[in-house]
Amino acid sequence: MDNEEVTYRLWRIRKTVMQMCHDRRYLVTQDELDQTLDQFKEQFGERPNDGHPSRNDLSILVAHNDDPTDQMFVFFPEDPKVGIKTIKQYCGRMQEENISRAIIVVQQGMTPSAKQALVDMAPKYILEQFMEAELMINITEHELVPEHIVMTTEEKRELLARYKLKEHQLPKIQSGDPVARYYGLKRGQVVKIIRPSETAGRYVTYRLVQ
Amino acid sequence: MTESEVIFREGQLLSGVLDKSQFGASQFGFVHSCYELYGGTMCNYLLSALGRIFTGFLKLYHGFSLGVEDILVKPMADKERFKIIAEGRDCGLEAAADAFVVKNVKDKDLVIEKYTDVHHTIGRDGLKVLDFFMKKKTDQINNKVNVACIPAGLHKPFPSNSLQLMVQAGAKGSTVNCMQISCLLGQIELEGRRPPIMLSGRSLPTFLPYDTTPRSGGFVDGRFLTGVRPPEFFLHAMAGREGLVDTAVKTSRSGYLQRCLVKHLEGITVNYDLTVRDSDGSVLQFLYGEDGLDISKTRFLSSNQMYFLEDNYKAFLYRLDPTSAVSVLETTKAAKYQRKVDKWKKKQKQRLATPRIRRSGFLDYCDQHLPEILAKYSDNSHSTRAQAHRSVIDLWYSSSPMLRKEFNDKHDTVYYPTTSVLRPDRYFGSVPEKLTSDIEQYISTSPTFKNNGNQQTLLTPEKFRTLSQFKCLRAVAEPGEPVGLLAAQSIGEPSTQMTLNTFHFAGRGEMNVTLGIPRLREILMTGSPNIKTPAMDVPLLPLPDAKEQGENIKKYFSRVLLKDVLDSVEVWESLDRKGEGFYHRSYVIKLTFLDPKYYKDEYIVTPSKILEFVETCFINKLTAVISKEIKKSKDKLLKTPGTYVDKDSIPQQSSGDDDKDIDNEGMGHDSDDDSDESDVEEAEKAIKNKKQQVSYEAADDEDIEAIEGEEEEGKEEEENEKDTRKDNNEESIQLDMEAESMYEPLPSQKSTSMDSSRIEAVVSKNSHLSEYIYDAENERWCQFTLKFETGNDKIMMSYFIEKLSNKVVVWEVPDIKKGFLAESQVPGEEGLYRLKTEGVNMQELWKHSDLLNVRKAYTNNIHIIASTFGIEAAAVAIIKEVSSVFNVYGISVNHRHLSLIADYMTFDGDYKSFSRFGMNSNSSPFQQMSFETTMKFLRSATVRGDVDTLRSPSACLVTGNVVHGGTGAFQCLQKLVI
Repeated sequence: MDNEEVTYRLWRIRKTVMQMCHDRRYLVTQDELDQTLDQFKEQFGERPNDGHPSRNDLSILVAHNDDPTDQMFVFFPEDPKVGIKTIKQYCGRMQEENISRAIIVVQQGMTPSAKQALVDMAPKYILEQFMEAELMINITEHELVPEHIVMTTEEKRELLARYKLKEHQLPKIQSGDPVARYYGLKRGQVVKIIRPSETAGRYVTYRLVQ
Repeated sequence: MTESEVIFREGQLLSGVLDKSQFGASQFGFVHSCYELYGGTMCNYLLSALGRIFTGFLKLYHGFSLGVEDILVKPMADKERFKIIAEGRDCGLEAAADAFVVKNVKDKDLVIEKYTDVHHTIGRDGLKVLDFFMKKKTDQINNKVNVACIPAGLHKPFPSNSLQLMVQAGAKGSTVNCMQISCLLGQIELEGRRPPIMLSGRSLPTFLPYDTTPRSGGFVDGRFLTGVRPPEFFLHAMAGREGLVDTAVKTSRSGYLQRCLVKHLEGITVNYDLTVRDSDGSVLQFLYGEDGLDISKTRFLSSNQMYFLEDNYKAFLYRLDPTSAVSVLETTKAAKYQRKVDKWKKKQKQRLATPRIRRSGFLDYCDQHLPEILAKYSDNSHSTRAQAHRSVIDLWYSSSPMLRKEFNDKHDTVYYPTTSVLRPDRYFGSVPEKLTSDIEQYISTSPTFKNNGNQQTLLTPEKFRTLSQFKCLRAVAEPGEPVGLLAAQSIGEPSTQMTLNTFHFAGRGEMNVTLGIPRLREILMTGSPNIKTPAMDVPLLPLPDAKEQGENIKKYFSRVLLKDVLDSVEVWESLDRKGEGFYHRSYVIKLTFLDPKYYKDEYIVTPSKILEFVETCFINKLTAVISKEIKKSKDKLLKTPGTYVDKDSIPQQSSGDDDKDIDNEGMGHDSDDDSDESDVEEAEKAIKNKKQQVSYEAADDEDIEAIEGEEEEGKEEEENEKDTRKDNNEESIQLDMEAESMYEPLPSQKSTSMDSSRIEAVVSKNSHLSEYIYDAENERWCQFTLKFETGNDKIMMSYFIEKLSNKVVVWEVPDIKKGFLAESQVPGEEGLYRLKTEGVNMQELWKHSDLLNVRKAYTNNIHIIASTFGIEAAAVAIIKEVSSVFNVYGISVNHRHLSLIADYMTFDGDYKSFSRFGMNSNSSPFQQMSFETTMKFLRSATVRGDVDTLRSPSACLVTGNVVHGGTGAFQCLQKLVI
């Protein structure tokens, strides 16, 4: 791929990541949300193949809206297939800075041992893996995807009480579902979904993360 | 005010004609309106009264009979009819000439020659074209005759003509019947085509071979009134039989589909909290059909029937009886909440915009504080801005929680629809948002309310609003309603109407799409990720140069095989002695490519790209194939040493390996190869047959195997397709070769313009390759020499080249076969273009998000939707796909049924089908067992120690209990002692 193409790619991916952070209620400034391709080039350079910018330069650190100590890293590893070494390195950094969440945006994939390492590290360190290809666009902006709102435990309890439900009687959403991953949902959380409806106008439904 | 507008006032018919559209089963008719206004009992009286009037009238006053008189045609019209038919008999030649592109319409011999050629090609696509042109002509004749005879040419005109009366009133019979009786039978069709022609070129033995008259193609100009000639009668009977076969076959297909749906959905009912639940209590929908309303009661609540509500205000008031209900209702809260929602909606333009503009409390805070911080810095570079942002974030955290909450609340508070917060059956005025807006829309546009209400009935906007809300309250679905069964039947019943003759594909533009019951089975019953015709559809962004860009992107998505750009292949063979008993065969191969002007509008490749591909890829693949083949034949030789007879050690130059060619030349070439090849072919055939058998068995038997089987079938089809393509190509290649067989190989002297390093690079990569030259000027051809130690066996070089060129891909986007660009047919997208592709690869679309509107990218593969956009998007896609299958047949299924089915299929978070595998997640063993594979479910239930709570309808029936649906939904708490 030529420089132009890679730059475009990186800009799109970083933009989606920024939107994702914002939607997860991390603090992201308007500048970063609205960044144009030219601004991106100005800030990071436009020759990614010569390491300008290198993917490492793009990494992001965001803090949560409600709690300044709840921070999240976004890493962009250089190597196309991420190995356990890189994961260890990132973990070291998270330990150093006392941060428990991170997103890793991989180019092609991860080695099986690295994937296992992610599983082993949970729940102390939560590392989420995204492919570059799936971040090229923001799927929540697609016309078929309705608005998902993450519910608090209090709201979930109220909901179950209101309809006299046991947890397993709610409709489900897989934890590997693209939208669930976008919001970084954990098993047992409930999302409120506001669908546009042909019959009702708006319709509210709920899904339990499984 | 016209006769078609029926108006009743105070029990009097003031205007309009009452006919089938009023008494019949049509929507919003007389009977329906009465039911709506006065209820079932009154409607019963009305229907009995009407029945008596009609039969009484026929019996006592009118009588009714049919006679020959009613079908006779006036002599004048008959003359006209004969004239048109006589003219029409000659139009076949014209149509055939058009279809086969023969310029001189009168040149009958040429047309017949072309017809023969088309008939003999494999695939016979040309016949489809002939069908198309012929049908165009015959349709014209048909129309002309009909216009001449009915109704103007009838012996007895309409009101006194009993047959016409029957048809026009809608009692029985259709215009088609009248035409077949009095005009002509018209074009006979079998499986959507004209009757096929036999190998002899005739459709029936009566006709001449390749007869172009419409009559021989199944156009029957006779009529029932005066009789039909025997050959035409035969064809008519064929079409009649096809109809019978279709109905016999399709009932089993749609029957099974319906059973699968019913068995899965049987336990789904509306509960007392208005949720829709399965028998184990799991919630599928929080309000039935997303608005909680019963379908049969919502007909008069649509925006175009609001006037009926207004006109019959008093009758509705009496029927709905608001006063008795008010005592048990909460009447203020919902209205209050609705006002809040309306206010919030007005404010939330950004959230509701598409695409959504992202805002938050923090961003608002930034807007307030960032400018003053930025003012402190002198420049506006990235680093200073970043610094400023950091200080704003610090400031945000240091501000009081109260302040932050204030900022956040502005964006975090969402007003949910009233119906989701306040139960519509308890809180008066809790009405679906769509209906609220419909009511308000009507109030603001209706002329009655413009001058402050109707003076006669004292109807004010407030009263009307309250009445509509009351109507809505009464329309809420009753607890116990078996909505699952209703949904299953609402899909199952219309599927019996879908005829099987549109079974495989119906062309949508140039693209093939699976339709009808096969597609329904694919979506609902198999739920397979490998569908027969996967496709993508995405609109282009409204750029000024969208069309050109679209053409480019279409080319980008179109796959190019080598054979698509190959003009001709020439092979010269020679044999060199190399030591004792060993021979080298060398082949000089020349590939000539098409002139780019022929394909530059369709394919993205350029001559230089093709040449590069041949150099780097094709030659290596070819040598690999040939080497393998040589090894194979050597192994064979070792096993059968008897064939070691020196037959053709003389070096020969021939045009290629065409056996026939060689035989003709009298070279007496070995029949060994020939038989070998046919052996291989036969073996292949046998394997194919076996495969087919397996897939047939599978289709009848196991479902999961059916999925695999279908895959196999698909592959086979693909293979067949490839074969036919190859065959088509073969001919042209052979033709070329024959023509050029006397050519000497080109002098292998390198012209100065060729790049020697390039040649060097190509030759060095392959040990069999000894020479390589190419067209340095236009890059239109290349020539290379391959050497093989073959022993005695001849290599069918051009055969292998041909075979390989059908397979190797010069350019493709993975998983995508072809791209199409078409002007959008979607309303609201006029003048925009849409890109459609055969095959699905979503990630490729994202690469072009600067040109394509990826927000609206769509595919008919629901599994792919689920894995890229999530399960909610998949639910929408299911609804879209199912309703589009029915739309083709002009059938619309209520959204409430479809949404229930989609919610059921996506309940577990992945796409579950109405098959045995979908049954696995069911919690009632009895329901599972009564579906299919009883033993399997019984075994697993026993092994796992499953318990049936006897709540599902199947379990209730098995144990002899009352089903918990309808009136069985409730029980008496008090024990009754009788």
